[in-house]
Amino acid sequence: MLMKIFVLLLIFSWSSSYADILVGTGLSKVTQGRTVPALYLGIDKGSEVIQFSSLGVETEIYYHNSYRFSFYKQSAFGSVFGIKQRAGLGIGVLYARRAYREDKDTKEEVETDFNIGPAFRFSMGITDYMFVSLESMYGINNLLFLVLSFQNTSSINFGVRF
Amino acid sequence: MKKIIIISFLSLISISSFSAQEEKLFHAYGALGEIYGPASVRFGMSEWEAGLLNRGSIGFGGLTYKGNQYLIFGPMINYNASLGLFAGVGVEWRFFGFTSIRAEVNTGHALDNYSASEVHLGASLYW
Repeated sequence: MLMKIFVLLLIFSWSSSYADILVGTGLSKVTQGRTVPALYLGIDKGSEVIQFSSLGVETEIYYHNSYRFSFYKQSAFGSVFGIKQRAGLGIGVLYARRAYREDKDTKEEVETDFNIGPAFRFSMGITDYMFVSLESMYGINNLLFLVLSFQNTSSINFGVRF
Repeated sequence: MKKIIIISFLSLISISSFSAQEEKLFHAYGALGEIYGPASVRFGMSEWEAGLLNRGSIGFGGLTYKGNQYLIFGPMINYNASLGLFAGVGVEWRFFGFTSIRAEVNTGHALDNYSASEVHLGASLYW
């Protein structure tokens, strides 16, 4: 379902004939402390970036899947250490599903997470064809955002653009 | 009394406007984060800042300005001594040539996959 929404959003937001495709991998806070590689896909139109990432881990007694979709308005910020920088602000949506069971014969307990909120993206171009990005989403679930408390999800990603 | 206050205020602004022409070399920044608790203390020279970047990141970063928007980016370590990257974007409004208020969103993500992302409200002092 989320994938279909993502594809529809891509089609309707396509106003330019030129854009970079981003393909990569990354580490997400969703699996904090464990290095589970995530799939990272995106479309970079220069001033706008649409991004989708997913990751999953599964064992005999539990599984954990997570999907994130973000849209950013971004601009160039010159360079530091000779590296071209871009930063974007936008909105992100996260959906995660977790299930756990005591052993193979017991029924699994399933929990889901849904988050929506402002998102931030920083990216730097190592070369014209490679990027590293830091992305963060500040999920708003209740009024605690008034005291700057958010349900954060961040990731560090690297990949290629073409 | 009112006149004295108004004249003093205008003098202060005019002096500040004049001194704002000079580029201050050093600055200090402090910010509040979640539940308005202390979240960041940074000391800066020119367009560099170092210190506690957010509650989970210690390091330094280069500042790049675009109008009153800025970007900070640099290396960090977390409390597990794992290396990572820190980036933040924010807006800064300067007053009187020596002080400013800032609002910033930032994230520090280390290679051990522990991260800290925060929203800050802070102030800087330039000298």
